[in-house]
Amino acid sequence: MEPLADRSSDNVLRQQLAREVGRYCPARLRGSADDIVQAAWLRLDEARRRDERNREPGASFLAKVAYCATVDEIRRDRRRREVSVETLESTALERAPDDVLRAREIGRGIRDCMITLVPNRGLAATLFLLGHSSPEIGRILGWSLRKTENLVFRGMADLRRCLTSKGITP
Amino acid sequence: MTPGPLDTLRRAFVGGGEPLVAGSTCPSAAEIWDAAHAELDPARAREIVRHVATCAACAADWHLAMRGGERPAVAADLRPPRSSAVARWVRLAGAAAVLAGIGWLGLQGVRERETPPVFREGAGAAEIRALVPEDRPLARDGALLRWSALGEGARYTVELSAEDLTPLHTAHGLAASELEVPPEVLSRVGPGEAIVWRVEARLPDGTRVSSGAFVHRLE
Repeated sequence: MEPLADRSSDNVLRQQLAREVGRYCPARLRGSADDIVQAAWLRLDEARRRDERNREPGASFLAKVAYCATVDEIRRDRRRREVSVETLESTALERAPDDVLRAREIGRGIRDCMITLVPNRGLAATLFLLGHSSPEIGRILGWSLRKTENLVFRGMADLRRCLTSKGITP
Repeated sequence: MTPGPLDTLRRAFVGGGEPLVAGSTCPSAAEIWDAAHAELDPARAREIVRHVATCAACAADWHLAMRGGERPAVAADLRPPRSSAVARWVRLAGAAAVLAGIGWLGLQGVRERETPPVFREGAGAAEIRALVPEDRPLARDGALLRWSALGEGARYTVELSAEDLTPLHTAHGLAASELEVPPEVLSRVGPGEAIVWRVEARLPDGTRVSSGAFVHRLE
């Protein structure tokens, strides 16, 4: 297989990769976006070299490569800074300090409570809090929809009870 | 302090204000991506979600993964086919018929399919089922939630939530297997939005029986 750099579609692929990186890259790392795109490009090149069937990468694969390169850079940045890197910067950093402290307290309360929940209820509540629907949660964890809905319902109820017991009352 | 609506809980969970430091046990970005897109073995996905539950950094990474790629496809076979409910009734009918006597077998099977379920106290197969059609919108005025009774002496607790599972109303110690939802409770739910409810029964012998979650759209 010839190197990616020699292929006529390289520019198109690279532009797609840059768009995907832009989707995941937090504002504070925008200055490193070109480096992230380059890292993603090298991953893509490596993957294509390993692919004996020489297939064009699909949109989903490009997205995954861009995501992985971006998250690796985010993690390096976290280690360098050892301070908060907000994935939800656009909302979190614009909030008043009181709101940030409140969110931090609730977040810690949730994580403390998760340890105490019945395991499957905790898994279901975790994915629900991340924004997944019940069918998606069932798909990810290998459960039926019925079982998933019950575990989400009970997990969230247990979580709210636990938060209340910590003084974080609804 | 109040957790408030679901959005508040979600923002707080996904690293809101928390210093994010990835640990050495954090799963790789590729594994988080695969798990978030249901492309990972469920057993491994469960391990990762267990970690994500207590790691603010990985929760943020997972949330980021949800911005891209395709959301996990919903397999049609995840939704139980309507016939499964019928099959369950057929099985219950069969069990009841055996108890009642061989001679009643055929007739009992037919009856169980046609009449509302009656469960016996303490029976191993006790189950609470909604008796309100889920395929019809629920009226706001006089909204009546009904469920299968578990016999004399049973007391019921009903928990009612919005679609995002924000608690709306709880009723304790009900002797009847029904609850008329106060209109002011439903005023917090928009037209066409859903409510989720479940029932827990306490039987005279102390046994507790919980229902599944039932979902109804409002008019």
